[in-house]
Amino acid sequence: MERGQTENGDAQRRISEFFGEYGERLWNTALKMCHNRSDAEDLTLRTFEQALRKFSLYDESRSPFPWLCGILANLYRMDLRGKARNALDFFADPPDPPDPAPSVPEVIASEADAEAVREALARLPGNYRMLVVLRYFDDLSVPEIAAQLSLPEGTVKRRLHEARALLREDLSRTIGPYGA
Amino acid sequence: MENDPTDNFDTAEERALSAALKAPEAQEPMPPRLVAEMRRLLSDVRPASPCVGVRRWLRIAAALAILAAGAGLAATIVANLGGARSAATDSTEDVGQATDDTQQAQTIAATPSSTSSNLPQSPSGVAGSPRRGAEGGTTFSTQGENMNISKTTTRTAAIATASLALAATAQATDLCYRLPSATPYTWDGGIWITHTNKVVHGAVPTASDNVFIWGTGLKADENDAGKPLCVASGEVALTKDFTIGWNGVANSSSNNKILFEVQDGGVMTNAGPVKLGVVEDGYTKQTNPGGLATVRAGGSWVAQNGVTVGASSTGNRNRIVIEQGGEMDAVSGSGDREFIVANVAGHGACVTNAGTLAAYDFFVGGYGNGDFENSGDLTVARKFTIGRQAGSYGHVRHSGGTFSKGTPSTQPVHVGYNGTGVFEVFAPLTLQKNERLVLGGTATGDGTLVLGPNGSINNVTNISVGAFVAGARGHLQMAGGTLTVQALASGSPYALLVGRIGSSGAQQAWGDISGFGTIARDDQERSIRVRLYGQVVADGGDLDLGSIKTVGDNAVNANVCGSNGWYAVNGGRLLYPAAQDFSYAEHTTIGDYVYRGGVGSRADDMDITLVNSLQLRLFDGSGAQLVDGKYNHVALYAADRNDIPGQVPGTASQNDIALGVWRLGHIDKPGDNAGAESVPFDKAWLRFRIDSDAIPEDIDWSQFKVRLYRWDGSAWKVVGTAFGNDLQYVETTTSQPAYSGADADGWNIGWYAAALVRNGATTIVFR
Repeated sequence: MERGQTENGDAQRRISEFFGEYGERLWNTALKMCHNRSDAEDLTLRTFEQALRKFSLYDESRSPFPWLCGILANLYRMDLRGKARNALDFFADPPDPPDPAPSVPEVIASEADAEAVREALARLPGNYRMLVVLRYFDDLSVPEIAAQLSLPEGTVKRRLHEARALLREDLSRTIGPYGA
Repeated sequence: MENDPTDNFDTAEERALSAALKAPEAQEPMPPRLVAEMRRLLSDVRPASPCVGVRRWLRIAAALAILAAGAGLAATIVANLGGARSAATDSTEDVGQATDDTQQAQTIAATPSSTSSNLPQSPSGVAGSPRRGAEGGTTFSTQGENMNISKTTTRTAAIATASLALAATAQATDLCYRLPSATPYTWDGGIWITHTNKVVHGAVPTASDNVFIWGTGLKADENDAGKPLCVASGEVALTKDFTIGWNGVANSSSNNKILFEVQDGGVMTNAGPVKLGVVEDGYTKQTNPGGLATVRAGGSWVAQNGVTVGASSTGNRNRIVIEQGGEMDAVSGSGDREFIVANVAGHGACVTNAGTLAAYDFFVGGYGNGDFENSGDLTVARKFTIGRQAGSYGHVRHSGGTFSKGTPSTQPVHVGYNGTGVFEVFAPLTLQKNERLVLGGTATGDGTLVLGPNGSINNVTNISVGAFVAGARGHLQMAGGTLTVQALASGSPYALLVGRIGSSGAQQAWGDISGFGTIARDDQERSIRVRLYGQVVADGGDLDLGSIKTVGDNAVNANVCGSNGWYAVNGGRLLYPAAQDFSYAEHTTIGDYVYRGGVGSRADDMDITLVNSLQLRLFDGSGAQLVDGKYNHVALYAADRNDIPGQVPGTASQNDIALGVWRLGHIDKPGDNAGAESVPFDKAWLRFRIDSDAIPEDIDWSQFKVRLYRWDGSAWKVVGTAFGNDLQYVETTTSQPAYSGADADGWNIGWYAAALVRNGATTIVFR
């Protein structure tokens, strides 16, 4: 019992440290995934709740950030599944045909202003958005993402490629003189 | 980070993505509420115990809230227990972990602390007002920002409410009101009897009692304010479920209904659902039980678990009226908090007669026929849907006051979601930023938004007019109002989506914009865009879409648009979205969007297809195409307008048909028809996609021709003829000079008209 209490105390102390170091970053990760402050608050809170409960699974030899990101992303995936079951309650732009428009130059995203990119990201399907945030905001590598989400690396790479293509297609309709 | 060095961002695109996401302006500090919750979590929760997550807390709370009573009563019970738990909703207060709370709730349930059993009894068997002063703190905010109920705050409140709930269950009684010997029929002054056995209960209802108001006496004609049951000044009434008009009033005359009022200084709080007009199986039924509930000035009504006006009775008897100075709060609480005007087959109405109404989810036309008029202050925290379920009809009229809605990014305003909805806006309506409007939300949805003469809506980023899913129908009817779209940065999605077609070009959903008024943008430096797979019809005046800069039509192949496009009728004038000249475009396209420049539209979509769309090409004095980056604006005139010069081609003789009249200008201002100045050019070439469906199929083409005319300042002269499949197009045979008539300022491309005219007819008509 005493040992258990010590372990619990350690977990609380370490998670408190993690929160101090990574809390704000994870909050911003959640915000970029959810695009909703209330949901992002809830997601951040649950991430640390679960980290606390599953602290015994944390490998102290590794950076905690990918581990925390993995918890957050997996909770977000579960939420997405829940939303999919209530799809009629979830409004999104009517999706255009999923044609990645290969004729569009790849550099088009780099020519869009940052705000346009973030807005296009907000219109991505949630699963794609999650990967883009993990890769390009949190700087997780493809192997790290694959490990945290229990996905093959090839799948992560393919989905990231698809996500970029969708972003490109979205931006191609709007940047440049047509939407200026 | 432990990035694989070979897996860095090695393309410009990836680096741009990363930079955009990491930009300082894209980062937000953590909300203090979240920090407080985290501190509580890290100080209280013991990981060895099963930790109940937020959503589980909410689920527990939601289940218990069905039985829950008011937060004020919770405070009383908690206080009786020594203040172990606070009922306050301040999320910074110590709540403790969920397992403890559950145990606490169970302890409370086993404690005989029900307030009803402790009530002092009056000699007549009617309880006094034991709760007075203990639960009076029922206030709510009407500000949109505050309406966004956070999960963390809800959790705290829910736990307190849940503790109360188990205590409340043990004492639940169904009660009815029996009239005292004289009016006024006050809540505390009546005789409360059991609903089933009609025996005197001996106490006023508590937050654990279900109350049914029906029977003799409490009735009046529509305009008769007499004989209401009232929560009078100083009274604090509590119920669990509260039903007004149950299975019938005693008098089945069509003009009678139950009257209920919350008067100045009175407070009504319902822990359970509130229903007006209930027909329940297993009882002798009246056809149309109904209730009229009024919140008078200074009265306060807090419904913590939803309100249904017209729950299951038909007829027009069910109504809530909130008078000026009266307040109804249907946000506080933790249940579903659905405010439904007309459910099942019920009919219902709700009016904020300059009063204040705050709702969490607000549905007008749940399953039935609902009507709502707002002239006061309406705030909706989350969902606002008119015509929610298939077969329902909802009608909302905003005639004054304010309307604020929360969660704009995730919960759009739905008009005609599964049913039919009509939203009339006859007064300014200011929404939160990033709001979306969906007219016709599902395959059975049919939604109409009417913008009246003094009506305006702003801060909308996205309007779907029958464009969401196949089968939907949407209608934006402009009646002199203004819709101001929140223009976003370059890269924003279409602001205005009208209709929907499939990849084959078949019409899947219908959308139209009609009437007269203005669709504006809030930022002249940013663009708004329209995607048109339906019709835009100027009718009865100017319909100004000049603020819209581009028209997206990017999935439409040639000739599949049918009758979709732009029209002007009955004295109407349509101001098209403006279009800019581009260096790599062969034409400037107005009212359509064709493939050009290798970016955007489909490569096989080379022709203008929307009816009355057009293309033009301007040339300078050397004969070279003019590409100056300036704008072109165009107006389409109904042929019956009297400001068209000369005799409008196609109107001179019987069987002739005026197919279109346009006025065009090459101007200096982007997307703004007002105050634009002409930019000079030498000649213009134009092509129009005309309304060939207006030509009778049995026309004798040996006698008629479709021609294009140009007004040269004194007469209409033929400048081209029709061609293409079904003669859908007319264009200038040779480039035409810039217009230099007296009315040329801002319209220097001039007047053009298309018409079906008899061969040999005189085509020069002097003014």
